[in-house]
Amino acid sequence: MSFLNPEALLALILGSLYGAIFGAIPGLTATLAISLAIPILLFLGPQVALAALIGITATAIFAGDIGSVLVRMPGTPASAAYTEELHEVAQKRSPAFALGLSALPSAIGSLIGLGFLVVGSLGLVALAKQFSSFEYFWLVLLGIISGVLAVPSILKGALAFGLGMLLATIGYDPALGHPRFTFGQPNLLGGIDFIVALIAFFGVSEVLHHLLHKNHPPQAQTEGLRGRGIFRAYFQEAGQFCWKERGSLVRSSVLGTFVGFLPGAGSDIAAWISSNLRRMRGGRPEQVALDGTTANNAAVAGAWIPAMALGAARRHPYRHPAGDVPGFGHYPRPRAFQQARGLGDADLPGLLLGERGGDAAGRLPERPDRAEPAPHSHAGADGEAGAGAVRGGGLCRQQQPL
Amino acid sequence: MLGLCVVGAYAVNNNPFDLYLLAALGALGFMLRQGGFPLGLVVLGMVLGPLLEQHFMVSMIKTHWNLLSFFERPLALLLAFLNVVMVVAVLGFRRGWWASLRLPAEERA
Repeated sequence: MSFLNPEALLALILGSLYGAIFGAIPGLTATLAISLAIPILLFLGPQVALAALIGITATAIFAGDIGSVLVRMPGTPASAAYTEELHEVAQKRSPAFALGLSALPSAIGSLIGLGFLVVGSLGLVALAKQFSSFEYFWLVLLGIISGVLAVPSILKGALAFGLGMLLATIGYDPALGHPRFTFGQPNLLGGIDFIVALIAFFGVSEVLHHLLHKNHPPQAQTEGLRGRGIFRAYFQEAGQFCWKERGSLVRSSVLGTFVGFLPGAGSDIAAWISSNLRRMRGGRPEQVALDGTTANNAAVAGAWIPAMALGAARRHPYRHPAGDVPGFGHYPRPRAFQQARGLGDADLPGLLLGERGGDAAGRLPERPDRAEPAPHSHAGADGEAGAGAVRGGGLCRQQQPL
Repeated sequence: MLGLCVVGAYAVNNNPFDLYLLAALGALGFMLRQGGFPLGLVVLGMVLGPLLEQHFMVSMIKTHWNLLSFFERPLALLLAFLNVVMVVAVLGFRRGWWASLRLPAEERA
């Protein structure tokens, strides 16, 4: 029962808190939270690092809703899909009800996604033993196709993907070992590190973006956050609503898990698809928000299926075996499960605990003294937080499929 | 935040060269973003591109460049079929309700 070791549990709790903070602040995304944490996590060993990662991802996606409820600004792109609806609920009924509406379906969505993770990765492991380079070729192609086709503009998506592939050709060729595009620079022989690129693309470009588009954060909506009524609104009313909508909870969870499972798609796409489906059938704001928030949390668990079983985002083992978001020193393919049984043990209950952490963290902003999620933070304007578009009225599209 | 990025990028490999890379790629990422290109896909390309190449090359070396070998194993055939289904299904979806994702984007522009 290696997941019960105190270090991993501590990492899980700290990761959850860190994820909740990053998730709630508009402009700081779950992806960014992970890429900033990775340099530290790399030195901690796979079990602790994965526990922390799970805490971060599980809570950051949920905490994105907090910004939606209170300041009508999604904390993460994944919440942008139903920010308008969730905020409307917060104003019509109460912020406490809206927070409950986002926390309970979030927890249920991720628990259902987790069930799929346990069952699905066992199935995939059996399947993965049959995999040779031919099957991997097709699988990788599948990930590429679904990634490119899932963005609003296929042409731009394909160009961006091609550019990434081109950047990756720098360094030694993986099959034959010829240096390519190194321009005589020994520093380029190892290629461009994926983590460095990730930090540059999402971190540095975010900073530059904020420098150009300065925004004033809107007023926080904190009325109705006092008194004992909030507990009733949070647990009882929201709980009753969830029970009434239990059918759509299950449906959104399955949809979210499936979308999250595809490499390249992610929780924001899951949230968009799920809440758009509900909108098209004329759902009320409560229902749209519930579908969206269930799906994006289920997608978090779904995304771990290929990461765990197949190591979809693996790097070449001779470069930097640990320098990989899902990889963390554990090699993908069947070997991951053969070599690292303990790792598997650490993950699955860890995710479960992470969800509970998410639920608990969601209660924090409800207390009056902590009611404002970082009012001084930069507005994630029309960047990936999509708040500008949301304020402009109506829907807005997701910008980043990661 | 910029400080965190710099520390993070340096700590991955302890290589000062990565910092120049960070600046260059950050500027590139910013330009791409201004142009409305999805940055996630650039990263997807960096991750999946070499994998695609590696598996393709290994397969080709194993079978002496017999391209048909990609369709000879049952699982490979199934996955190839899934790829085709994926393209057809997604392109079909995009004509229909998927358009609701794009509509607001056009309203914004």
